[in-house]
Amino acid sequence: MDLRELNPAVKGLAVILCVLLLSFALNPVTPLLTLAATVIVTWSFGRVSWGRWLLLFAPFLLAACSYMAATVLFPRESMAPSPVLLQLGGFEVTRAAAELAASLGLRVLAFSALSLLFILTTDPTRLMLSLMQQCRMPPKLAYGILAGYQFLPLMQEEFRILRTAQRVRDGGFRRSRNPLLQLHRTAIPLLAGAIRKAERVSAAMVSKGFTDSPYRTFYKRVRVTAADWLFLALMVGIVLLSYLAAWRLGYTRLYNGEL
Amino acid sequence: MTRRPDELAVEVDGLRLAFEEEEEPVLNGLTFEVKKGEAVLVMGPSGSGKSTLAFCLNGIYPHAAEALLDGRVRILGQDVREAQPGELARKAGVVFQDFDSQFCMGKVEDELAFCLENLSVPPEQMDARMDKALAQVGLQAHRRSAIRELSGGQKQKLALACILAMRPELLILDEPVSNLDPFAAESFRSLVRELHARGAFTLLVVDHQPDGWAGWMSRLLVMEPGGTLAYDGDPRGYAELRLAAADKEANGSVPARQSGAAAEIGGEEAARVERPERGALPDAVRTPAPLAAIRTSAPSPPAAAVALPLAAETAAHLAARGLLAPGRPLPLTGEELVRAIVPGCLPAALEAVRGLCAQRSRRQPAGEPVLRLEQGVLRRGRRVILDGVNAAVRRGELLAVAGPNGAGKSTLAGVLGGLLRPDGGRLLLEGRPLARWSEREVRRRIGVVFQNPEHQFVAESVEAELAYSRNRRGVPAAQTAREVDAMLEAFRLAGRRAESPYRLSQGQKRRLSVASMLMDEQSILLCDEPTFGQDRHGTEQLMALLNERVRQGLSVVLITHDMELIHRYADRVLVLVEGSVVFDGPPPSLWDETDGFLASAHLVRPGLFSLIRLLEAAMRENGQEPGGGARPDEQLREVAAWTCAN
Repeated sequence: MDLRELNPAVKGLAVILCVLLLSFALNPVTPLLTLAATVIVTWSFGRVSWGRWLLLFAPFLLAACSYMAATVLFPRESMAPSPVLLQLGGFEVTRAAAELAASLGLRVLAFSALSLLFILTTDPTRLMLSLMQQCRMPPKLAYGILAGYQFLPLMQEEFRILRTAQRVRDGGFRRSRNPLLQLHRTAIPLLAGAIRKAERVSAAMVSKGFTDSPYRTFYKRVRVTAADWLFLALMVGIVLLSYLAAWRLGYTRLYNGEL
Repeated sequence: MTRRPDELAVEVDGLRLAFEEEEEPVLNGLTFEVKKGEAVLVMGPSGSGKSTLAFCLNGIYPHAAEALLDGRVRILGQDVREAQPGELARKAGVVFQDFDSQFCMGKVEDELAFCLENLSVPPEQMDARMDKALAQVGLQAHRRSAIRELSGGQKQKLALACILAMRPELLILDEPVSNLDPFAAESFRSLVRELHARGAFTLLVVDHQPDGWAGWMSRLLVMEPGGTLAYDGDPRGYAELRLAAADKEANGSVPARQSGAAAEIGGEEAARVERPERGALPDAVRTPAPLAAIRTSAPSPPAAAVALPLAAETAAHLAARGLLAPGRPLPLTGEELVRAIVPGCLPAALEAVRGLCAQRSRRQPAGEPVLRLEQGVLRRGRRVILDGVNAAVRRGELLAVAGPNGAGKSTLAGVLGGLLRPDGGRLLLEGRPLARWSEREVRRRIGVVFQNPEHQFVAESVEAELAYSRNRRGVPAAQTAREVDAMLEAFRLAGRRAESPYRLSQGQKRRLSVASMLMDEQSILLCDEPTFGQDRHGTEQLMALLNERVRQGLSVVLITHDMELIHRYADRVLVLVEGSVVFDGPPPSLWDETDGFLASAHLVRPGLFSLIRLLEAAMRENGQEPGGGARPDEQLREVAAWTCAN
C-alpha cells in the first residue's frame, strides 16, 4: 500500500472519521495508541521524510505540551479529589488532573498526526480531481482552487521583492512603527497584483473553453479501489482497537466538554 | 464588399464598447471583416483598445466585464452576445501577453488535458492530441515537466499548444512576444508563421511592432486612441502612405530634416521629433489624405504613429539617395530590401545603412569606476548563480546587462545594489568596500528601480512619494518642496502631483519610480527591466530622461532584453550566461560576434545590424568584398579601448 496512490477523497474520509471517533475519548490511552499507530502508518506507507514530518509536527507538540502543563498546574476546582502524584513547589499534581491533561494533549497530537498523514501524501491536483469525480464538486470551484494554488509561489516571490523594494525606499532609516501603515504598504501592492493576475488567469481559462457546465470528460480518472477501503478499515480499526485497549485498562469515561 | 457569410471568420459592424454608461467608449464604431484563413496584424498605440478588441473576438467580452456593447460582432457565424461565455472560445483561442498568468495547472500535461476536457474530448483521444500539439510547438520533451520550470518562451509556446490542441478556427495572439527575450520572440514568430502556412486557421495578431509579422501577414488594421480604425488594408500600403506623408512634411515644412528612416533610427533628438507627445504631431503625419478617407468617425484625435517595418523605413532612406530600383513594391523585410536595391549599388547601400548606425550621438568617454564588483560569487543552496563576476560601473555611463532568462542578471543587480551579500569576491563603492559604508550612505548613492513600479510606492500621493526620502532624512520642507517641483517638471508629472501613485498610467508610474530614486541625488541607478510592460512611447520617454541624466554624470545599469535600446543608448554591454560574464564591451563589437555566440546568449542583433549582415552576404554572393570603408564600429572600438584603458 502506498498512501500517495490512494484515492484522496477516501483517504480524506478515513481521516475525518478517525478524528470524529477520537473526539469522544477522554482518556490518555486511546489517543496515545492512535497517535503511535498513525505515525507508524505514515512512516511505513507514506514515503515521508522524517525530518520534514518532525519539522511540521514540532509546533503542535509545543502547543500540546504547554496546554498540558497549564491543565496540570491549574486544575479545575470542581475536580473530584484524587491522590497527589507529585509536589512541585507550591503546586500539587493530582492523578485526575494529570490524566485529564494527558488525554486532551494527546488528542491534539493525534489530530495533528492524522492531518499530516493526509497533507504530506496528497497531491493537490489529484485531490481536486477526486473531489470532482467522487464528490461532485463543481469544476468551477475545483479549478479555481487549483489556479489559486499555482499562485502561491509567485506571491511568495512577489512578497520578497516587495520587501526589498521598500527597504530601498526607506533608505536605511527605520521603518515607521505604525503597524497600520506597514500593512497598507505591503497589502495594497500585493492585493493589486493578485487581483490583476487573477483576472488574467480567469480570462485565460475562459479562452481555453472553460465554462461552468458540470459535465466534462477527464483525462485522468482517480478511481476508488479495494486498497482505499482497506485503508479506511485499517484507520477506523486502529481507533476502535485503541478504545478497546483503554476499556480493558479501565477507562470508560467519554468526553463531555472538559477543558 | 459582400461575401457569403460562411467565408467570413470575423464580421464586425459598428462595434462600440464601453465599460461604464457615462464613460468614453473603449471601442468606437469599428467595422471590418476577416475572411477565413487570413492573417491579420492589429497595431495601435496603447489605449487604442487593441486588447479589448481581441477579448471581444473570442467572446470574453461582453460577458466577463459586463461591458456595454453596441453594433454587431459575429465570430464564425455566431453572434458574441448570443453565445455563452467560454462557448466561442472553443473555436477562437487566445494567447495572452503575460506568460505567468495563463495557466491553472501545475504540469504541462495537466494544462493540455484541462483544455481538452473543456471540449469534452473523449479521454482515449487525448494522448494523441496532446502529443501532436506539443510536437507542433517543439515541446515534446516537456510533456511531464512542471510549468514553472519552463522559460518564458517555452511558456508562450505551451499557451499556443493549448490552443492548438483545441483545433481553433480563429487564433488570436494578444502581444504574444512583448515579454519575451528577442531570441525567444523571434523563435515564436517564425513558429506562428509556419503553423499558419500549414494550418487551416484564421490568424489575428495584436502587437506594437511590425517586424517579423508585417512581411508575411496579408492585412493590417491600425487602431487609434479613442478606439477607432485608422487603417484597414495591405501592410505595404500603410507603410507607403506613412512614408509619403513624412516625405511631404519633410519637403514642406522642415527642409533640413532627413528622411523618416534616418530620424527613426538616429539619436535621441531625432527620436523626440519623430515621436512627440500626442497632439503635437504635424498635420501631414496626422492625416495623410488617403487615410482620412478610410476613417470611420469624422473629427477624431490625431493618429499616433505606429511603428513601421524597419526595412520600409530604411528603403525610404535608400530611395532618397537613388539606390532603390524604381517601380518595385516597398520592401517590408530585409530580404525584400536587398532584392530591391539597384544592381551594382550594393556597396553604396551598405555604406548608407552603416551610416544610419553611426548616427547615434556619442557621449564623452566615461569616467572612473564608481562601483566595482571583483570576482563576485553568489550561491543559492548548491546552485551557483554568479560565478566569479567582474563588473565595473563608471561615472556617467550607461551599462547594459543582457543574457538569457535565469542567467543571473537580476541577482547581479541585487549584488551591485548592496541588497544581496555575495558569498565571495568584493564590492567597492567609490573605491571603498561596501561593508565600510552605512546603509544610509549606500542608499543615498545607489538607487534601485524594480521591474514593477508599484512595489516601490510608499506614499499617498505623487508629491509625497518624491518627498518621502528627504523627509525621512529631515531636510527642511521648503527646500524639499522646491526640489520636488523641479523633479515633477523634469519627469512630466506636474499635472498629477496630488494623485495617488496607483492611479497613474503605466508610463507615469514608471517615471515616478525612477524620479523617486533620484531625489537624493544618487549617483548610480540600477534598473531591472524598467521598460517591462511599457509601450514604445513610454519606453522612449523613459530612455530620453535617463539619457539626459547620464549626460550629467549619473551612472546607469540597465538590465534589458531590448537590443534596440542597447544599440541606441548603452555605452557598454555586459553579457551574462549561466552566471559568468561572456562579453564586456561596446555594443557594436557585440553585434560583430558570430551568430553562434549571439544565439548561445539568446541575443539578436538590432534590426539595422541584421540588415547590414544581409547586405554583406548579398555582396559576397556577387563576388564583392564587403569590408573596406570607414566602419562606424571602428571608431566606437577606439572609444571603447580608451575607456577600458582608463
